[in-house]
Amino acid sequence: MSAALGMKPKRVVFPIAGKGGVGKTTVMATLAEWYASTAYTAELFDMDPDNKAEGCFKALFAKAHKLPALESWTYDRLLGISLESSADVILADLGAAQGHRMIPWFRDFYKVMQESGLDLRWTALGVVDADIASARSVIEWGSELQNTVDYVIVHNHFQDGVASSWENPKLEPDVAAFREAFSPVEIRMDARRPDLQQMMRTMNVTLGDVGERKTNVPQLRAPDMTLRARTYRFRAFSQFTEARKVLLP
Amino acid sequence: MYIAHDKRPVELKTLTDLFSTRIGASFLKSRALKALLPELKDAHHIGLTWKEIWEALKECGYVGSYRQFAAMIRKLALPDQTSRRFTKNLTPPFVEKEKPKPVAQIGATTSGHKEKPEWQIQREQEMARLDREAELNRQREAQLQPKKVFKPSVFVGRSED
Repeated sequence: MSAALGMKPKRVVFPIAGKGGVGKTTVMATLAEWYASTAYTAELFDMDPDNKAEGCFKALFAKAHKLPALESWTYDRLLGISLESSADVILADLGAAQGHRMIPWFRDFYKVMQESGLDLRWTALGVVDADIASARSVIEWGSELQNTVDYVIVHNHFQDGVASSWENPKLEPDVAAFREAFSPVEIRMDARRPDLQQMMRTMNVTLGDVGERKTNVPQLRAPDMTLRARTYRFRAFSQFTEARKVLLP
Repeated sequence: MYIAHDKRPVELKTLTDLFSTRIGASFLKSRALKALLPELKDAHHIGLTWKEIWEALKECGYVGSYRQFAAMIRKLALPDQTSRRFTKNLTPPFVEKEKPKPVAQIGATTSGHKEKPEWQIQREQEMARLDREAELNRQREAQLQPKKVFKPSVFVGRSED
């Protein structure tokens, strides 16, 4: 049907961590910047059900569409925009709603999108940090979505000496089963200075803004901040390039 | 932009450390830089300007002026980009987009094959570019791994008895 409509295949990328504060929006914002650096175009959707003023996708990217998840009307709006758009990728930041509420909503959303006739490939970004709850949440999503999507595990806030919760011995059997069943691509993000991250969220600026000194915030124009943002972005881009097969349509 | 010692990225630290170990040869400016070419490129690759790199080297004993340094780098590191203007401000890594080139359609010369749509050609070109970029990134990462030049003998602890 998509061929009949003259559509090109698209990739839907969304985060799957029910736990808040693991860096979902940060990873998604960096990913949006990575897409902008390639020939692929991405349509951005802020689907965080919590209507935040700072640090959300819409605040970082003015062109992002605000469509809160957990509402039934968002399916149609997103579908309408996707049909009209020539973008290669749909980047949907889902926010940190509780898994038991978000997963059933997502299942319906997935069904509606798949039945639309669009040729869609799906990628779930499982963002995990040092907290075991983040890894448990990804496993929970995996057991629900099964192999309907491709998986990328993002080891966020990677630091020497601090193990990712994905490597926690308590979860070893589940993680091994997950790896065997889905063969996820695993990438790691370097540790970022907490003050930089905090200020970027408060001031609604992206890594690109800081790295290229496009922000007017004096603290974020400091040389060490500029350098840190540039280094972090460069390394994150390298990691996304490694996972390109499941991040691009 | 001066970068304090404790805020220097690992690539710059590697470069200055290596340079410091070869301080005796620092008067041979061109040769010293040539020997450190991979490290210089790494530091440049993560987004540092040449001026920032020169400032760090100067602190470690490099005696040349920035003008000389820039001229040498242009000659050594960028032989294929000699026509490009040497600027101290860099474009962000990997943001330049390649112009779509007309590619030969595999199998399209024979009849019976439909031409690929424009978007598919563009996607294939971009994927090929990202494949090359990933390979370069892997090589860069491998270079950053320390080479085993020092192998201490196995420590045998004193027995308890």
